[in-house]
Amino acid sequence: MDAHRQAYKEEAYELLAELETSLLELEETPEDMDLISRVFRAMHTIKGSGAMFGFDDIATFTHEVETVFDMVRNGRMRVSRDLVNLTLKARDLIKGMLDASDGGGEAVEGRQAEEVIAGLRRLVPAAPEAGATPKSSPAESTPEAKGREAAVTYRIRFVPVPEVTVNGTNPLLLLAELQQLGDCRAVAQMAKVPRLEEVDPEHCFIFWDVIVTTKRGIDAIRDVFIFIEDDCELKIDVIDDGGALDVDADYKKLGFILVERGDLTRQDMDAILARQKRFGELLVEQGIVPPEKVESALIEQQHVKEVRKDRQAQESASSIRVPAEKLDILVNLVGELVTVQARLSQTAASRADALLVTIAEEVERLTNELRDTALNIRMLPIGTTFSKFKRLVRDLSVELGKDIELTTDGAETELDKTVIEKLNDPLVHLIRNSIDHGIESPDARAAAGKPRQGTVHLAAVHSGDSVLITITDDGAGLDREAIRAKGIERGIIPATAELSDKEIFSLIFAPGFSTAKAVTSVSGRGVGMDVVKRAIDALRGTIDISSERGTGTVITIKLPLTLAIIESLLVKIGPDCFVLPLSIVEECVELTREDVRNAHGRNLATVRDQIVPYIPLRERFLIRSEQPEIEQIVITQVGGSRVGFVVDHVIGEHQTVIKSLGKMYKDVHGLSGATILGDGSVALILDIPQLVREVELEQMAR
Amino acid sequence: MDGLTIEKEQSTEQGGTFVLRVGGDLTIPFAGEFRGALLDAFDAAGRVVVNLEGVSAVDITGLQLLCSAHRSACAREKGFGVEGLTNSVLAEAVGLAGFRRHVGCAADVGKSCIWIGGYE
Repeated sequence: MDAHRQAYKEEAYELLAELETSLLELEETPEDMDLISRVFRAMHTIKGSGAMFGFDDIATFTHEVETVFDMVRNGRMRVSRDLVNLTLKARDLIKGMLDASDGGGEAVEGRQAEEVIAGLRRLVPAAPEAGATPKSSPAESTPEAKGREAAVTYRIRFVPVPEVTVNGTNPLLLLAELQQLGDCRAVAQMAKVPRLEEVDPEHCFIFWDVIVTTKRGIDAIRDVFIFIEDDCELKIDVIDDGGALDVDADYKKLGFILVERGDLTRQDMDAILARQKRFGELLVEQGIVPPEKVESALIEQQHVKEVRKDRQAQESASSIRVPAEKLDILVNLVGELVTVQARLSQTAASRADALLVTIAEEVERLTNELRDTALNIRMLPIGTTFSKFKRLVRDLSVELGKDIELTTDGAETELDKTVIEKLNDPLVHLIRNSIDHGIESPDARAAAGKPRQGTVHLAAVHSGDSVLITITDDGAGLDREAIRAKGIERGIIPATAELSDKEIFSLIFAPGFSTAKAVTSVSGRGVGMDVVKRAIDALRGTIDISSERGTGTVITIKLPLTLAIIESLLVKIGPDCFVLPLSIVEECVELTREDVRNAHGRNLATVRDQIVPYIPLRERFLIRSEQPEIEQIVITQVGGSRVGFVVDHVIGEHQTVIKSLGKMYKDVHGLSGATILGDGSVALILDIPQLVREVELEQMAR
Repeated sequence: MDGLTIEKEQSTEQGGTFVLRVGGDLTIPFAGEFRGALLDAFDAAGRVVVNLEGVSAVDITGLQLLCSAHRSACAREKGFGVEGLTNSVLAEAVGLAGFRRHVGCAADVGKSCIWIGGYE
């Protein structure tokens, strides 16, 4: 039962997310019946399955909200901003109830729920005491909301009496209704149609064989014929039960269909079968079954075959739910495997054993495929995160009295699940900033000749092995001089510094930096941007700002696709190996003793007439071994500037499976993790941005 | 309701073609009128062609009469043809009613069933 409850909760969370999206869309297009139905269905499913799995509070509460939406659906009420507001509140309460159901989260107070319900009831038009009968469950009127039953295929033989048309029934309308139920094929049986000379033109001499595949059940079919029950002969058979008993995609042979329908006797079929010609042709040739009946049966055969084929295709393409931890374990194991495989390859290469080398190569190929597949499983489209922000933007702009629209692009861009999770908070900060500081009030915008409605645009796009996420607003832009003045005031930059826009803008990532004159509930306290920066660094990403006064700001975040395995550069200092993320490495140049002497003790190298500061890692890490005559500088791109790292040797590119250092080492600075090399030794992964920051701070302290 | 209009054109040659140009409602209130026109046409000519391009509504009685007419033609060994089945009103009704065929009925000795082909 617990597993069922868990499954219900998972489904309910998904439905709530969908509900939120639909409600927000509904606010923009309040007449959209599709959306209204979607909201209703989501509510209905939450309620129905909630009651089934013992979430009685959720079921009772949701029922009230659903009742109101049923009225909207029936056109007895209109969608208003108040309705959307209250329903969004209701959605939050349902989420609270779900959170609280397993002891997690705070319990939702009955009072809150009552308030929402009372609010909703006030919206209901007073007319025919609709609110007074909340138990008139609207559920039964929506068979489609019953949800996930399998599609069943029925064979219907509908034989109206000839007078049916005179009595005012139009058989075509009935057929049209059947078509509404699902995939439907009708075959008119016209054998009894008389010649012109004998025909009563107002009577109907035709009957129908209809094959319909529907999820709505046999009652829905009977309902179609409910008004002419006495005027027709109706026979409904299940010919495909939705897969419960399927053996394979093939369907019955033509003869068996005709026998089952009563259009052919078993004896005749056997006699014909003995002749071994095409069965249908033989039947017609012999005049045993008229051609239209054969045709009708053939259509049934084809229809069911197609339904079954579709279903098989769907089943094989369908997805399964797996707890995220299982995937994490899988990725971890693959990481171990990659490491072991590297050892195997290394060992094989040193043994000169042809057989061993062959096996090692095979293992390498498979490991690579396995690695790619495993990492791919954890990829999720970033759109789920995007849709959360719609709500954020809506609520914030109401709070701040601004009119802001959030547009998104590239919601389908895939990123590692763990990256997406950790990206949420930084993005919230950035969007809040754009809304609070960036976009002006509608009046100020109008005065500046801009549309009153501001826009925040959120976009994601793949770029090589990274993903670029941009947050663009059309607000006031950053005030370059204010930031510069603040930077000087706080002593972050010297008053005489000549800085590029990029460098000035990056000052806002300094801890406690804020130029806001007033602190609002949204932002201005100067916590935030440094947290954002740290979070993005932790994701091995970079963040970049460009802005133009008066036109807006663009913040670009560049993130690696995955956190589990990175392409890196393996270097050596003395006996120890280190790893640098390849994505930030620009080039490697030599550093001779003479170069060091020429720089007069300053850690600066001249690379193609440009001065590049460098950090000698040997000194920094206090590695005591003999320094080689010629060292290497690995030049990286950090926060818009080039910084070199001096090492003894550059070994080459390396595929690094990242291992965390563990809690014991959480205060170690400058290292972001470790990896195991092919020979079993450990190499530390350098946290380049942090190393640079530390050295900068030390320099300033001097 | 536009009512039913039937224009008649007969070619001059002996045993020639009689064309019924049908427009408006091919529905049950006018079924008797349509049947009469068809019978007259078969009496007057060796081949009857019904042009349905102007039809704006059709129900099962209209479709059924076309079938009856074809049966009579087969029995009398006269020609029968239908034009304008691509008219969207008709195409929809024919599809809905499940009239479309790959083979003609037992009466269709001359392989001239009007519901074969001409679609998809």
